[in-house]
Amino acid sequence: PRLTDSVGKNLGTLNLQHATPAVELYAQLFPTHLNATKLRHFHRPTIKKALGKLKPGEYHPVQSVRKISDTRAAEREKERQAYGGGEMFYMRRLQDLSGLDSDIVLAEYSEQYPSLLNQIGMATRIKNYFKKKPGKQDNPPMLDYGEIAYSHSSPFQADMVPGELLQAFENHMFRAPIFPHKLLPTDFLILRTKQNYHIRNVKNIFTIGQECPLQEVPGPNSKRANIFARDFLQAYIFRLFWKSRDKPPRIKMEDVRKAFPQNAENSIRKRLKMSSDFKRTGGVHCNWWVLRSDFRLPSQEEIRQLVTPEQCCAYYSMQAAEQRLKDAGYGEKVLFAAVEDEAADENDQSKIEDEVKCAPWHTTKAYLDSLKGKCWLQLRGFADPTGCGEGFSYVRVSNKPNAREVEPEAVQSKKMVTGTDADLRRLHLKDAKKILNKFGVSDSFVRNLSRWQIIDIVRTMSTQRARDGEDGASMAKFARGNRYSQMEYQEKYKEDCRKIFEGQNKTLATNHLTSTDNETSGDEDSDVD
Amino acid sequence: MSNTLSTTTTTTKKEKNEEQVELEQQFVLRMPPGDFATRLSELIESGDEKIRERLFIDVNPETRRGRVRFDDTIFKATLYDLPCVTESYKTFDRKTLYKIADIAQVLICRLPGDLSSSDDDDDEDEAMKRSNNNATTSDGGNEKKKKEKDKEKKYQWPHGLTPPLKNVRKRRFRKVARQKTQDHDEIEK
Repeated sequence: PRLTDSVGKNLGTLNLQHATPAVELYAQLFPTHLNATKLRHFHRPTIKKALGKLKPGEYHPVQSVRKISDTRAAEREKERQAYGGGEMFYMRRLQDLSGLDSDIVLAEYSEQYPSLLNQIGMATRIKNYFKKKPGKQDNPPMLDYGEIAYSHSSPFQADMVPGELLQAFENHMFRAPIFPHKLLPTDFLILRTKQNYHIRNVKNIFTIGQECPLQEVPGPNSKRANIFARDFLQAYIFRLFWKSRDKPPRIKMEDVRKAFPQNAENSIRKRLKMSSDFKRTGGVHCNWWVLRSDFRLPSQEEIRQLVTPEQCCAYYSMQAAEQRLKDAGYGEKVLFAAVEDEAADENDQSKIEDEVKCAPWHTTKAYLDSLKGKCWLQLRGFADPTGCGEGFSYVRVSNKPNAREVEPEAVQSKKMVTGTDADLRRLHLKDAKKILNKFGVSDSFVRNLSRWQIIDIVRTMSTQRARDGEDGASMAKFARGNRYSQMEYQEKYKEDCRKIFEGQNKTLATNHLTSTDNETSGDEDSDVD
Repeated sequence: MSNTLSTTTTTTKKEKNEEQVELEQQFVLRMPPGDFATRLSELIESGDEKIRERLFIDVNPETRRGRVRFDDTIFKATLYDLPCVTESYKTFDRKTLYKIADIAQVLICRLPGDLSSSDDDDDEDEAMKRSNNNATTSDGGNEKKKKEKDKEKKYQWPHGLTPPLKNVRKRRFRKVARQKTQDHDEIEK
């Protein structure tokens, strides 16, 4: 079934505007090339060694941000007034991404490798999902952060309880439950440039639960990934032409190659040829690619449409995960198996190594497919990022209950019925009667039945018992048909979702260091094993 | 940086912007619990510009060693890698957040009298010296590699910044199934 019908909706009102440098994919924020080291440190950058004034071995003063912060706040207010008040968009330049002013909050992901992550400059909203109690006119509790969003059905993997409030990070890439915490009183935020250290008191930090992806991560070498790479290069070239101060605009091949060292010169030339001609001779234009007079350079807005920040993030995520898998010893053959194929059936799926199934191109697709009702999710299993049953395993399983019957003994008995002692046709009448006795059917009743009637009762009752969960092996082997109906499966599935989600939320909301220690050794663990 | 200004007089405003703005790198400074942390917090809160005459940092990102001086007290400090991806966001309205940094490291200060961990430090310095020496000898290669790995491990802080992510590396992160086949050599090339 769909996890919850409303997952993936509610986005109409999101109204998300990234900082302009992010929308325009400034190379400082959206690198055109990531080498292996960069990928290994994806979103975990180490502090650069000092190139400026901050040499090691010397004490450097740490400054307050108060003055800068106040000045900038005043400037913003002045600007706002100049425009006649109202809401302003302040994130227009790179320097607006400074942490020296305004309110700062931190966010810590509970997943080791979240599938989708914002690049610097990208925006996210905090939504406070609230489920009203029926009939009551209750006001949702006020929170320091976020805007209230009334939800009738849950935006997450499990239903919300009436009166429940769940905070979430939400953007075009994912939605994830968040849990407010206070930074330890011993912890301070240091901002470091080549010249200076600044220090800030930051109070608020959110722990982020497992992401519900709203966007697919492309697989390595997939059609989607290749199209992105092509467009990314094209957009870069278009922007280079926009930057050119010459008439007609012109650019150098080297500038593109430096930015895209992974691309063959041929592929770059192909992109350049779409819009420009290479001048071998011709004085001033010699060795330049000059924009053709008959080519209309796409507007900034059109270039923005061509490649979005979100697509870049998904592509980076793929590259980083590919690097991790390679580092863990998975070769290209394993990696590329059945990534692309829309119609990859269960058999193909099962050929993929488990670790590869944990890659974001598989998990995001499985999750999104499950929203569309195309498949179910494994829920508990190897792709659970927590490894302790507090997260969902976004691995696709068939939505047909028959195929979903995964308990090995059950599968076995189904295949091996003939020629074993589970074969109903060979079940001796005496044994059948014994079984019925065990089930509490009286001899006098059995005596009046024909063999086939007796066998039928054995079958029905075994199936019934197996379904009710009292399956001793002896009874289960005569059970036939689906152990659960579709409805029962759905109920069980929903219940599993709820348990996992609540487990996660309970842990991530915990404020006490000691109590979290105990929780792991509790029953949460045993669920997985 | 400054010569970019003088040479490219024709660059547009936008270009200048893209080339010259340096975004701040961010990390967490952790003081020993108690009086020092409280005093520092109050000092920051007061907005007193004199903090620049009272608090000093010296850190070498490569050796991960550092010192922090607060008034007359000197703290030895070590730079560790945080386990979780941690993002820094700024906000004007407490509804829309703009990401401004990834925070990946924490500089942990020790009280001057805290000998237990500084002993550890010395051991490590020794180990590093030894491994450096080894590198020049014939069999040092592999050993050095291993040592470096151990060293890296040593600087992996086990705890997240928030209480529920305490000991998250051991307790919560899914274990990666490594493959030790011939594949690996292929990759190394």
